[in-house]
Amino acid sequence: MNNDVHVVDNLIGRDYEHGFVTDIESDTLAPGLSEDVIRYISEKKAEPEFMLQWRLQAYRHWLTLHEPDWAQLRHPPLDYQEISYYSAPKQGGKKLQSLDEVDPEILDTYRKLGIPLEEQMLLAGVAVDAVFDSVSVVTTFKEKLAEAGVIFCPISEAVREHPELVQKYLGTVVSQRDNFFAALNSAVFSDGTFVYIPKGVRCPMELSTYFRINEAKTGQFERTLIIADAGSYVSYLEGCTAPSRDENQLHAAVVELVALEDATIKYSTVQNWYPGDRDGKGGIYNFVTKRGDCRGDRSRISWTQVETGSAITWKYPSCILRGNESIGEFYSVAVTRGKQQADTGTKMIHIGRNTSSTIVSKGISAVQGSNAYRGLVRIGQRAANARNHTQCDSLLIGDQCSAHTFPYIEVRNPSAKVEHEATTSKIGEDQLFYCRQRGLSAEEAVAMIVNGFCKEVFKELPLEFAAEAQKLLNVTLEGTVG
Amino acid sequence: MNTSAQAKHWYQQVMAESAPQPLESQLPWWQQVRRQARESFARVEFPTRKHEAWRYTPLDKLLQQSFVPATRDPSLTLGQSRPDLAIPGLDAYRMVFVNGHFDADASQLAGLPAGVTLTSIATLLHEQPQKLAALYQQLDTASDNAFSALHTALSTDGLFIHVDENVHVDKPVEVVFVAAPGEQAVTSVPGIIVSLAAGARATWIERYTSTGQSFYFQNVLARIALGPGAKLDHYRVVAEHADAYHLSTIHVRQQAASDYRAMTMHLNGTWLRSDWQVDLLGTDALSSLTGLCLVNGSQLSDVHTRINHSVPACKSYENFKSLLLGNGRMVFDGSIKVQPQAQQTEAVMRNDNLMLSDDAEVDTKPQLEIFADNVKCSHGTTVGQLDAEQLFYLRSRGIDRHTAKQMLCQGFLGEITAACALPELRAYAEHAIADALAAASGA
Repeated sequence: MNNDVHVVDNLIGRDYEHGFVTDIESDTLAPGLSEDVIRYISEKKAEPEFMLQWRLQAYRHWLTLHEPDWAQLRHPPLDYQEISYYSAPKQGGKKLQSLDEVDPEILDTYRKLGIPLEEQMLLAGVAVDAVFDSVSVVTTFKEKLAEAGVIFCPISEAVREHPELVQKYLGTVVSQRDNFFAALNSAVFSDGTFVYIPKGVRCPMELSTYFRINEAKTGQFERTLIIADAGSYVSYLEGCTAPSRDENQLHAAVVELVALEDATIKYSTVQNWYPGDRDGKGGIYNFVTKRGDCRGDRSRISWTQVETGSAITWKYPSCILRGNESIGEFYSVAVTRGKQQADTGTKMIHIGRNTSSTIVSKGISAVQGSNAYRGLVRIGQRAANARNHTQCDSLLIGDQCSAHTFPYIEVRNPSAKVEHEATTSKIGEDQLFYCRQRGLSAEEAVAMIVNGFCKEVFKELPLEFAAEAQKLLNVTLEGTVG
Repeated sequence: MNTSAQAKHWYQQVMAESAPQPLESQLPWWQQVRRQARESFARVEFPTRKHEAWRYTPLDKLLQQSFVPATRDPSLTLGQSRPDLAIPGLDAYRMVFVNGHFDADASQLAGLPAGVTLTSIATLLHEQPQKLAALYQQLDTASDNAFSALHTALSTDGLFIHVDENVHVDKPVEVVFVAAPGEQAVTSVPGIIVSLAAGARATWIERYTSTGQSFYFQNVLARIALGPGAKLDHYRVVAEHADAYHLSTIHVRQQAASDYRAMTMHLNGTWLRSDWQVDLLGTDALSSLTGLCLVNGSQLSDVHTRINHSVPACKSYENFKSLLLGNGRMVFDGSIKVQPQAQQTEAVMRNDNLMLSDDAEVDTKPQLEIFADNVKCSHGTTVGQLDAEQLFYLRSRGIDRHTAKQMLCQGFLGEITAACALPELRAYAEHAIADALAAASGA
């Protein structure tokens, strides 16, 4: 194995491939947070008065809150006055008519990241909203989507053009007072994506948002709101990257999903923020609140996440199963290596009758990574015949990593059936031996075993992204076994 | 009055009633232990639902009661005639404690082999205080929670078992704690110290029962130390009065290759909690915690386990099953911690709950914290009701609904009871389960 150890050492040093910085001029607000900053953001976005008041309410509530400390995470205290709450590429603010008007540097950035923004990438069949620091720079396929009646636009635009929808749904799933980071986001969110699928419409293409943090010392606070009206269907994907910087940057997003009667929302995330270097210097602190509300009967929300980046991941995409016969799903692969820490999981709140939920969580800890699953399954008193199956498995690679499981199960209805299973183990010597004996290198063997371990989750991803996720996982884990 | 104010009031009342012990002035170390406990009780907060370990364990009902310490009347004894003092047919050494105080007359200790000490802590305090002092020095007497502090501040008696190196105790030791409340509700605070030296073996039955009047609060603190290669089979039968409160805090410290197997039965009591802290300190040690909980009426049955693997190659095994018969609540909070150096750990945790009524509640929290990679750990939890198909199968064979239900429940709990190596105790447990099922279906 000595030889392998050598290969391993080489590979551990592999750099984060999206770590480049785009050199463009930008409007960046001086660091600091106050009511004036919020007024500035709101004014910059030309928001109606109700939005400003909503933000201020959130800010005043945030001042009374404390950062949560219950997660299995360690980090130096965050200074919220050190962060810049708004940064936009110089041309931002005015509406872009076509891709030609986008700064070529930015287009180049997305090209390097492999995100199809050009219209000729039609074959990819994915509509993309590209968010660069605090603003959405471009949204593709808007016209084609509009034909189907689908609204897909930056949330800042939705606030101006569809205030009735925004006012009706914003904050109804994750309230401004929900938690520390959600309150902060509500106060200062700058952009994000808004999706509305009208009654009975099956969204003709995959929707996608690509988040990129570029500017130093900024935080990204995006807000996503997806509403699937009765009988509609949408599949949505988000991806994220950031440059390699020595300081830690904060990303505190809020995602709200609303599924009305018979509607289905499939939300997939491939999160690849900059994880920091091998000594744990730099990296994104990812504190995200994601929640879906199965408001109508027979509605369905499915979360799939592949978390490979971020120095810290704190996120619990949840489902409130309010409608009868509604379905909630959570499929997750979280990989931590180096000094990365992840505390992630889900909440399934069963309220309606005959509701069911599935949780599949796969945690992989390598080198000194720390990975925790934290989940709640609550079966309410009226949730007759509720059904939950939870499986969370952890794979340990290296003797300094750690894996934790903190499931909470609360059952208040006797007709419920709840099952929870968890295992933790390292890759079996016998499995490795079997593969190597058939001529695979240690690297290939590990990649094969890990991919098998994650298969259940990958099969939930849209096809194009499943391949990407698999590649990402291989890159992340290369060189972690010896 | 809010909970903390209530708690304070409760504290003052209990403390005021606790008479200073005449022995204290002669034994400065003991005086100090008690004083420290009093101080830390005054300092530490009473747990509330905001404390993670008490999240699902409501204390309001307990704190609303007022208790007087049961230290007042140590002369209270029971006659030998009470049949409940022995498990029928079981040949055992027997010790009886009434309200936490040793009752020599009701006990049966004849024929103890050499090298086995079975006595009360009070006796030891009078006769060999230096021995107890030495033990206390090894024990961690710091009280990090209010109930342990309260216990240490009030406790003057309890069980003491010591088995010398390589001595095997030939018969089980049955220790019965009888609550005999008088006109006023009492809190009794028996301490338990069990230490097995290297290679020693014993079977110990710890049983709680009552004379059947009124309610009381049993606050037990047990400390168990197993030397290298020692083996302890520990059976716990908690059958308190239906209105009684019971808290057992059990600290277990295990040296290399020791073997600790505990089987707990929560059979009765309005508020029952068993709180384990197991430290595996030597390699190749094995710890097995199993149990069954019958949750009648609106009772609370709560099992907390903390297993700490701090050395390589230890095994731990947990399996708890509960049967909810009324509108009560079952809480299971298990945690396995595998420290970085504890490679080759094997840990398994299971918790299965069967709900037979509409308003019951199950809160379960099986946790793993793993800092080593060469480990095999798993946990599994289920919550459900009786399988309709199984019921149908039995009924189609002419078995009436009640009997069929009973058979299925007995079968569900059978996995736990079947592991009981004492046939008399197993029969006793099965009988208790049948009684509870009959009572629940009759109601």
